[in-house]
Amino acid sequence: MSRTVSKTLAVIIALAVIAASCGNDDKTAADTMAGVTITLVTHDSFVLSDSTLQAFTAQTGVKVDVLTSGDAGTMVSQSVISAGNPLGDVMFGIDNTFLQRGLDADLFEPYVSSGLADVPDEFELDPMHRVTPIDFGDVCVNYWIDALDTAPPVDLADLTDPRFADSLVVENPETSSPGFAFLLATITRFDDWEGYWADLTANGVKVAAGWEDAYYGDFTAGGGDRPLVVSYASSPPAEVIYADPPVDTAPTGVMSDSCFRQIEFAGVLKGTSHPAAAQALIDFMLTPVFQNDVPLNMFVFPVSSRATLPQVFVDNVSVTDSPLTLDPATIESHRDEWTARWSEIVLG
Amino acid sequence: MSKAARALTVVVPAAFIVVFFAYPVANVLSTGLAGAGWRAMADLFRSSRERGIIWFTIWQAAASTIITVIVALPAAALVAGLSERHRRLVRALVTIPFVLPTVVVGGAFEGLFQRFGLDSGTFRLEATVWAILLAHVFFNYAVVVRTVGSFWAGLDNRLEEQARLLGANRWRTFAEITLPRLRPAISAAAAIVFLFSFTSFGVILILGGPRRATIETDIYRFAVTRGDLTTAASLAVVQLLAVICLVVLATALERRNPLATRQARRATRRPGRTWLWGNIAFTTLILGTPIGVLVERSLSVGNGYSLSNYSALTHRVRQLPAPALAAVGHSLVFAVIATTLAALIGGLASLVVVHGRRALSRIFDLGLTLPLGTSAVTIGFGILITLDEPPLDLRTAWIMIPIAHALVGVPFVVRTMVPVLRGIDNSLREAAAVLGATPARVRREIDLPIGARGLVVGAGFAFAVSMGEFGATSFLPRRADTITAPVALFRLLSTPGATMRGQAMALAVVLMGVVALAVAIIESARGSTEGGL
Amino acid sequence: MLRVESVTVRFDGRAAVDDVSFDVDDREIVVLLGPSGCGKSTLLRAVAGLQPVESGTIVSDGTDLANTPPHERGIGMMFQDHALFPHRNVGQNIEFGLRMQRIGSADRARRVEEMLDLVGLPNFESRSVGNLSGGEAQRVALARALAPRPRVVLLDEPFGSLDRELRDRLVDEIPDLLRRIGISAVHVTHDHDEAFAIADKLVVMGDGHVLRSGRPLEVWADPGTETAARFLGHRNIIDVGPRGLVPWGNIDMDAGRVVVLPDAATIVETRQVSAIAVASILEADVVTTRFRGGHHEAEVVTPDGSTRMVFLLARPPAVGERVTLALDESRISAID
Repeated sequence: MSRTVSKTLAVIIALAVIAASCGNDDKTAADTMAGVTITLVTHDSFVLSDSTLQAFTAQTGVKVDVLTSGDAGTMVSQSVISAGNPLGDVMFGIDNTFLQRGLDADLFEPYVSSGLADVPDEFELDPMHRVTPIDFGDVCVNYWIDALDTAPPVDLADLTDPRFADSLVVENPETSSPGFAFLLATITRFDDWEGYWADLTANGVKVAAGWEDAYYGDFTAGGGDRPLVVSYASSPPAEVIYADPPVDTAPTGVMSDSCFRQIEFAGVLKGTSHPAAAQALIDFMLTPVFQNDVPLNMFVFPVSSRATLPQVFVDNVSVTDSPLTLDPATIESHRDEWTARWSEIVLG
Repeated sequence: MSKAARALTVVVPAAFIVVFFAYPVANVLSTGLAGAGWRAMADLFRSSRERGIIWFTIWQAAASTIITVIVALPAAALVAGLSERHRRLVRALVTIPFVLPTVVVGGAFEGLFQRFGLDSGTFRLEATVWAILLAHVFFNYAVVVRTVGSFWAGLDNRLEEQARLLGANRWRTFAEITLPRLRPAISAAAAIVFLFSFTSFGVILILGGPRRATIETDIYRFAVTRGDLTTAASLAVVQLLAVICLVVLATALERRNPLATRQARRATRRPGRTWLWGNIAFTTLILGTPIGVLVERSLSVGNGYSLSNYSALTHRVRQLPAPALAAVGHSLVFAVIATTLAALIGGLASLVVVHGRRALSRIFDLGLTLPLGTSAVTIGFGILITLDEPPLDLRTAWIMIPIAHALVGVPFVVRTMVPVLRGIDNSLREAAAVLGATPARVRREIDLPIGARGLVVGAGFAFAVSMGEFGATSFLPRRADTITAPVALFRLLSTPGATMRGQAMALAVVLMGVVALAVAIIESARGSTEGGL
Repeated sequence: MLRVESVTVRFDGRAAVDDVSFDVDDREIVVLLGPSGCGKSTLLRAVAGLQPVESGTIVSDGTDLANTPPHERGIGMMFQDHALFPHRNVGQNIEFGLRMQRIGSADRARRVEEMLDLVGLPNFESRSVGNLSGGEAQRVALARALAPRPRVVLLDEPFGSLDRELRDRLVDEIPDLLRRIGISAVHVTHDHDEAFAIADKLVVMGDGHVLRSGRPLEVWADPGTETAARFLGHRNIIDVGPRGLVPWGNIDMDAGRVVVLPDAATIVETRQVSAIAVASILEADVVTTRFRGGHHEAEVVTPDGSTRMVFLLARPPAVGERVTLALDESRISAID
């Protein structure tokens, strides 16, 4: 027995040592950029064309390891509990609904990227520049055009109309990011948002645990019986690109006047040993190479005015000029109160 | 050599569990409760909502366990009566549900509810506790069938024959002769099912409807959504205490009256025709229907059926950093490492549980089972803040993923192997000792080969658990270049568009196939050592 | 060569084996005979080192085995129900002890073949032990115990689970085989016929104690205690009244009990009676007779119905016949 055991033990130890050395950049090396590998901490939805990060490496000599951590909420929580000894060098994907929590935990080093010149001011939510806006997405009610026997809703207020009784599925704001964003939309839009949700409940709104569950379980797209769903402004182009059989125009439409805007930020994580390389990556995220690659991969919109949208986005999305927004500090300070209130009204 | 071997038998599993579970969990709990410990706990028990959640968590897990055991016992009987080859096949097939992500199964169930009008009206299942129980039966069926079925196959059925000759009918014989002897295996399986249901996450959220919450989902809610680590940590403590009580209870049941099995001398009985087909029909209904829905969805393309969703898995789509099949490859590598680790650690630990001193045995039994009943958030965050410095800066290393899988796999190995080891007729060990085998040699020559029957069953579970990424790893960061199949599946599923969904379903079906095949291969490994059993 | 001296084993304070001593000489077969629960199996396990001893010593070839673990004692043992390793075939079972001694595979194979020939199961090497009949399993278990050439082998109720015919055959074969290879053995049984057939030396145990030990014939003829007498199969246990009063007169002893051996009686003709001391003449009615091959077993009862005895008689009496029996006083022995 002992021989097998000690052999296996040796293998485990060896693996652990190798793994440890992989996971741990050489922190004593001088912070010259070329040859440096930095780690980008992001959420599960992060994806780019292969060529994009290769272009960054070609430009700067910096290699990027991508570390994904579940949804945005999980990513922020992970970073908050490991504050001071960060999981990587740069974070991408913290949005305005979680931003304040990241700022409160002092996760980021301030950095003013030169690329900000091309970014409209409305996206810059942190005056201290601890985070840099990279992209945005609008959480909107989507409808399946053919499943509606009446004119589509145009405003949040329409959803309480009996025409849309038992038609809408939303995500639980306690467990879903778009669900929470939609709650924020109603809070921004209505002074008596509680009354609004009471009406929605009376009108038969259904609550699903998460987006996948709502979109593919209850919404028409997955064979469900609800023609209205809380999704994104960018969902229709996805329905075109990934349609089967192929279609020219999206089967879904967007109620674009009542969208809550989620802005995704990137920031240099405090404690990085490669600040120069990390800053270079932030800069790169605002260049057209990165910005143009974002829509088709992550179905979000670039913030840079220099970016060009793919045709399928141009054809199928109209980005609202007047999105609903809320200050991140307000969101963070009221989150528990609002979701608890929502639960009482909707779930009883 | 024998002393060193014995020391290693204890030290290796102990070190594993302390480094990767006990210390990280203790660390995250003490961090979460720092300064607010008792107050936070008191607040928790003062809140009627939280008390309700704790109570619901316990009773739904208990109900899931009872129903699963009752529903799956007939199939375990069937498995016990089959020839070894067929037994292996059935055992491999019932493992399939294990790898299916709950979001996929939840979708399949909801599709079924809608199709059969069970989503509203008198017989509404959707968003009820019945949907939760049904899903728990679906996921845990294999635990009972495999654990109890394998143990049953090793029982000497001359006792049953004797009882029948003495005039007991089939049911009396089962109730009075078979059931008491199956108790160690049943309580082992029940403990696993309970822990599984106790920490169930996706099933509760997706199938239970938005009103349902358990300790597990609430830990997530407080830790992740609200960022309230103190409340999350108090809930985690409650969870841990409940699990400790349960495991202690289960262990007591398993130990009471350990019935040594003499050399099994059973002719493989050909089960009655009605029995056989009735059972197959029932199993197919329970396990097959949701799986059938998935297969159907994976094949449906446009308005017809084709394999194009499957062929698409070989190409990279934008949503994934690699082709989906490469993700299956990563999952396989992780699963092989996790299974090896779980078999090694669990195998050694089982020996300690069975042969170690009383106190040591109890501690091992408890300590190695706890990860199964501990929130994925607790484990994930614990590792994150604990294994964060050299020489053990493993929190972002790829090896951490299979290690965390092994953490959940070990309890399966221990729970399936211990009853088998306890069932070994002690005179076999004595015979070996008298023939000149040292105590360590006795373990190697008698316990390990015979215990292998339990070991492979447990290892099969460990493999499936790893492929399906149950718990533990959900809250660990991972390297994008080693994306696993379940994560790839989620990504496909989180993009609108029929092809993405079709590919996600195809990927789920591939996962099922890979697991069934792998489990069959793992279990055939013991064919050579099994001999007359 | 093996000496058990004042060995005591306790379970929860109760002595299962209480101050037991006996010797096993070279090439001697010692049988421990006793009812189940008398401590004989426990004693055997103590000798093998499987059961800790509270006091007393077990000495093998002059060495005290107190601190020798079972695997170093070099003692062979055959278990109740054989304890064959289910995960190994016949050959692998037999060679197990040889492997423990690090004997090379060629030598092992040779020895396995030799042992299988010895126990009469040639070419059984690759059989699965699950498919052996009871007698075959028995022989394999014996071959396994003997393969490592122990100097002494312990046999724990080895024939317990076998049918009578097979058991009778093995009761003949096994002592033969043990004597042929010149090994000492300690054999545990609760069957006195088996014990008489096998034993060079008999140790009768009851309730943890040695009741009697010695050569089988001596022990049988003079069991010493009533328990031992009953256990050895004696049925003629007679109360003796004051001044040696017995149903057939008086014998030369004080009040107590005697055992009348079954071969003590001879049927005599009434006219011969005068030639014999009247004191040893018993009149009795025959209740049953049974032919036992070679002699007849008859149960008789005294005319007043007070005493029943069983005797082996050369001439078959008829049931219901009144017979006159002469009792040989040397075949009557006092018991406690």
